Amino acid sequence: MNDEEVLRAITAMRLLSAGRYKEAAEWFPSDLLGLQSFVALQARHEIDPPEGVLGDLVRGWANYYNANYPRAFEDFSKAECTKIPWLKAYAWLGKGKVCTDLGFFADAARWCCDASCLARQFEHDDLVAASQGARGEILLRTGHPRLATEAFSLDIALLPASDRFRGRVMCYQAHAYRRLGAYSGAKLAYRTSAQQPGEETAPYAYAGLAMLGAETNDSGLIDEAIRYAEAFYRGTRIHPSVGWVYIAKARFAHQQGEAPLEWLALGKKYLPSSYLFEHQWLANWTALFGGDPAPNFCALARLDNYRPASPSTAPSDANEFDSEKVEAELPNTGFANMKWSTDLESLWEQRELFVF
Amino acid sequence: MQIREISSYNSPEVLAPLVANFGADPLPLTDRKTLTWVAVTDDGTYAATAIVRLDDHDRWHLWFVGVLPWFQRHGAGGKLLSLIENSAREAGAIALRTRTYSRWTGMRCLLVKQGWAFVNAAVGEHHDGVEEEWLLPLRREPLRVVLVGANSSGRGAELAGAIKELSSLVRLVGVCDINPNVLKTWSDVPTNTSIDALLDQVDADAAVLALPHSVYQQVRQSCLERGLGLFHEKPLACSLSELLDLQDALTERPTPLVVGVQRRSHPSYVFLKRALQHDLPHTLVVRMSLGRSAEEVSSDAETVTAWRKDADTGTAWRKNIQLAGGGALIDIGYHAIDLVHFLLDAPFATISCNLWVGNQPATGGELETAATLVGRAGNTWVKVVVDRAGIKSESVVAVGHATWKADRTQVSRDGLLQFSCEGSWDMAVRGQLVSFVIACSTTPEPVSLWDHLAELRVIEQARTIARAQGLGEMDNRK
Repeated sequence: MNDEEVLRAITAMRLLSAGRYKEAAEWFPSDLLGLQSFVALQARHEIDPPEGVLGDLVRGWANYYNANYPRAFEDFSKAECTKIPWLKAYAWLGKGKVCTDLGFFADAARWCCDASCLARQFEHDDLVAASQGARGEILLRTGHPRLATEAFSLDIALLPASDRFRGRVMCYQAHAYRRLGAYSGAKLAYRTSAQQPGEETAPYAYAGLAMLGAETNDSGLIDEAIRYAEAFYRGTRIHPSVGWVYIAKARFAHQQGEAPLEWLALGKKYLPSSYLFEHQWLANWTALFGGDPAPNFCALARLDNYRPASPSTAPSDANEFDSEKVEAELPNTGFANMKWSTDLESLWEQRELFVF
Repeated sequence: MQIREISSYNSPEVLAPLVANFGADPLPLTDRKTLTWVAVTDDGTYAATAIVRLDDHDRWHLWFVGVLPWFQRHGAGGKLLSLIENSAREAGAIALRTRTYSRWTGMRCLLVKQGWAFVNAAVGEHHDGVEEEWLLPLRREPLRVVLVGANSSGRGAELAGAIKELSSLVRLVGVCDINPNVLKTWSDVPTNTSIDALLDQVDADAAVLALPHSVYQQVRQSCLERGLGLFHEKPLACSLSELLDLQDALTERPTPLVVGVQRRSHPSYVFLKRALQHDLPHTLVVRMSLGRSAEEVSSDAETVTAWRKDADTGTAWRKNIQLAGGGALIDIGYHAIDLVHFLLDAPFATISCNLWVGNQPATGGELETAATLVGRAGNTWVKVVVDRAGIKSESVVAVGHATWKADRTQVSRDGLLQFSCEGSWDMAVRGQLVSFVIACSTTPEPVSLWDHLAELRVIEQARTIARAQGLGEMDNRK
């Protein structure tokens, strides 16, 4: 590399450490295409993955975002063979995310714990933050909002001030406050997260506010969220947050003694098809109101017998810092084998498995 | 049985056979100044030997004590120790110290009987267990102390028990408690509900303070004005500014001060600290739960209310952070944070903190019932989890090359037991009182409150972080 390329690389690394992934990707010199590709992944740019371990990792995350879970897990398994700690930790984090999305929460927690532990030992604080955030999500989805809050707090504290993920984690924090019944705190956190720079958090924050409205019978909040959602999707954009806004509206309508089916249909329309298990839950909930569930279970059938491998190491006292004892006892049956409740209220509570 | 001092300046040639008689290792001394005593029977048979090293004339080192098996349990060891104690006192020493091993139960019993106190433990393999350091302060007269805060269910009662056990070193000359019913149980010493009145009534060298947090400042002031040494239960202050004022006062007028953070003197944590010096952990997790019932918390409330003369505070003090000084964080959290500082020899910087009132996030205006802190001390990541409710428990897990687990009864390394002791605070309290007596026996020097400044800094930093995490002045209503 010549002097200019070295300077570009240093600039890129500084931007990377500040969490400004998009700009960092543009500064990487051509000699470092692999890293450029990796950073582009962080910024969600479409880019061809490089060769080798980095390529496995990039492919793994791309497959994960496309809900191609078996392929993603396979890619992460290849990537974890590296001896480079941060790459290995990133692969384990990927496995944790795959297990989370499939409903194998105990395994997910162990992968995230291992990732956090390794990243912490080698001072990769960004990965510690990401692992703690992933742990928080698992704890939130499995009914431990207090522990989730603590994990999100650590995640937020470790993130650089300008990190693009900050808004997302604050939104998760808001979900946790809402679960705890700390409604004012939740509202404040949702509104703050919506204003954070970086990735597009506002739609999720408004979906959270809609849920908050449904829980507290605040029609104003729900109407505000619907207005935002309508402006956001402009009638065509499929986005999970929009789906959840309408699901919240359906819940509120039901509580007011009104028919929810119209809103449930909109919820179904706007939930992306890759959200397999959310659709499964929504179909069950719709059916309880006498609606036509008509879920698309083709993709689900492919996952019926899929069970990602568990971490090879057993939980031990050495993990005390990176996990809580309760994490070993989290549900681990997977969504594909989930027994959905047939009681309206219980089934509504089961939506928590999907963060909202 | 007679005891003879055989020489003040013994050569190894003279000492070695004496020690060898008891199966001990040869003396490593060549040019050290030593004192040696032997106990002999009427017919001149050797029964026991004691050797003292005089490396430090203020603190004599009892280097060797041996009683031949067939002369044990006849008081020879006790006589030797008493003689050495008197000689040291006459020579102007302020303390005796010695080292022994945890499996030498006979020696341990002898030391306890003679009023010695455990102060330290070493790490290392030895067929006789863990090496321990013990101390005996030397005073011509016992230290005269008043106990302030004598509730039978509080720390005051534990301290009073320890004072009684160390009667040759410390003598209780008065008791103060705001509750007259509490004072009725102290019939053998002068009592008073007013600290100033009690101090006018008795001659005291020092005060032992075991009080609700927010009343320390007022009581401490009275003691400092009279130049009394202070044995002060934690916390030293409820805020950094209060502590800085105290630091100024102690700098201006040096006063002996020992703070009752018992874990610093508890054998298992002392052992763990020594172990971690050889295996610096990359993570350290401290968990503590008080296991307190609502009734106990309520009882605290009454005590504090009573100490506060201004009646307008009423029973609302629990919702006033300035009066109560805080919740779980300054209560059990103070101990946990202090333990971290003690074990790592460094304060930690808080990264994140969550305060809880039950299962609700605390807003910073109430007294939290639980707290979780994450921070770093050098290369060590630290997590502190404290809760006033739940099952009473505490544990420490430190992970370096090995995984160290400790509580008040034991220390293990990778699951293998390394050290065990009684879980009670008795030894720790005795050790602290002994340190206090020694501190009161020397010319007072300016005291540094750095450790406690660091602890309060962590607590205040944690509160700020918790408030800034999105709840601030918000309440939790819909």
